[in-house]
Amino acid sequence: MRGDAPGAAQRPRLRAGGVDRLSALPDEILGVILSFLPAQQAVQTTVLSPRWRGLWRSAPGVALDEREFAVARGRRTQEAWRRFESFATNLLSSRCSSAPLDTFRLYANGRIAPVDEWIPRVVECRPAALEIQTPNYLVLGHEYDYPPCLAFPHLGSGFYGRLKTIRLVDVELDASFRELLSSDCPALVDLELVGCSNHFRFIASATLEKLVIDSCYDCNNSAEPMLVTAPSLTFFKLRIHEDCSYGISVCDAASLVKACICIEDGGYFPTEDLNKLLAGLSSVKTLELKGFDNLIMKPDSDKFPVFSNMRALSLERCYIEDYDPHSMLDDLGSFLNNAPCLEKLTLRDLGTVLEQYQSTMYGWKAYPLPKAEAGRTCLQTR
Amino acid sequence: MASAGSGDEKAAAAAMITLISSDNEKFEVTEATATLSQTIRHMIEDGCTDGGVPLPNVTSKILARVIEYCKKHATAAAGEEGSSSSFSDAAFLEVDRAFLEELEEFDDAFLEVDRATLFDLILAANYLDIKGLLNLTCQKVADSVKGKTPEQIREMYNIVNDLTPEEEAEIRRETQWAFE
Repeated sequence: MRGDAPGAAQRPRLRAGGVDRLSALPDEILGVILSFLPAQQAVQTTVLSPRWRGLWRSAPGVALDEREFAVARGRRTQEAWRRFESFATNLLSSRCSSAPLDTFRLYANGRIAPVDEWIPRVVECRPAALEIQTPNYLVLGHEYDYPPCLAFPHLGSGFYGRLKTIRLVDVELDASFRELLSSDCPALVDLELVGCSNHFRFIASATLEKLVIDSCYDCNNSAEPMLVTAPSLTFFKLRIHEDCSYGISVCDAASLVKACICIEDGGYFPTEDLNKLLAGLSSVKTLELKGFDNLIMKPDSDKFPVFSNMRALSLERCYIEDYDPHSMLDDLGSFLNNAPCLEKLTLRDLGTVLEQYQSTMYGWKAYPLPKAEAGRTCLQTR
Repeated sequence: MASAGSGDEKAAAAAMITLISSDNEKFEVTEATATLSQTIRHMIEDGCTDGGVPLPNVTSKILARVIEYCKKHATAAAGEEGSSSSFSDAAFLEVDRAFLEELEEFDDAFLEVDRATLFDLILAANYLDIKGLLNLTCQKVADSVKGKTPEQIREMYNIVNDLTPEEEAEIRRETQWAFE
């Protein structure tokens, strides 16, 4: 609490305006404040007074954002990029590597090459959370014969020992990402991949609790879906965007609480893998499925899993126009029969199927929710 | 593993803790509210909260505000043990967006305080080890200086610059890459 720097006492603390309570805060707190500033401004506080000199070197958060260096109206120029590159390189080499780095964020539009050089330095600072966004690198990186991958150096778990959170946006990830997750990151809890191109086929982590794969590309020319082995997983979200196919299957997810699988229009999930995926999610308490054309698959088949823990099920945009509503309801009923503890069912945006065939609702009633109380069942058609 | 969570939640909610401010005012709060403070959490774990928890560094005025924050955020924390993620949890947030918006509004209103109170809140959050409150209040200070020149920041917070022009020039040279 008494964090005054040596020699601070003899310096005048009063000015005409009053007390300098900001500089009187302990170093750790000033570090937190610096972490919320744009990186360039955080470094510039070094000239405020001797109290502030070099404080930025041990701030627990670093946010490098190329947009800070963009010239007027967000236009990027070679010059702006050069300044950003020089700034980032200098900051990373001057930062105190023994000071704990809680969060590192990087936003670099259009280029990936220097980012690759910065990562080892970032990893040396033993970050607890990493967020890297490299949008448009494919567009601007056309000089490459093949898209450049972002490589995380394999330095052993010592350097990744604190890493709990990884969020990567628009990053090309090579096959070695698998080893990073499985052997280098002993404390990983959160993994979020958004818009990434994934060249790896396995995610295996004993500690991973939350996994989000959003609008990613599966770059493996393999018939096999990506395999996730994460016994501690509690939350899983997969979103497949248009013009993209993504096969995935999950195993050993015994502690799963919530899973959301969302297929946007034009996205594709291999039908043959669906039952396999659902089997992997069978411990889930809350399941949300969106955009499955033929979701109400073949629940009668032996392979269809029993969701023994499922309390809530939500189906959204799960229909095909010419699907016979009677058989849809039949199939839905069979699905519900495999969910003995279901308390809440939400059907949303099932389109024409339910709207045009109100009369078929009797079919629905033939499959009462085993544990549902009247008021808790939620049925929405729009 | 699971036993620490949901099973004991009801018991924890019923348990009350008494917090005693520096000016000897007593505040009775639920354990769920109090344990947003890691400092108090550890005291509870060590079983030294009987007869109240004296907080000699926090005045009743500030403690009342801190408790107000903790009460509101304890409900949010109950759903997500420990809140491990450092980045915005977009996927999870879908669960209860309305509640999170409400929480954000609460935080904004909570920060409508004079500067002295803000610093007192920062120190209290640090002492009580309430990460969310510390981040919230530090963010507020950071926002207040964002885009300002060093001279403007000195002006704003009464920072005395006792660097000679030569010294300042030397420091600027050291970190020239940040002033380009």
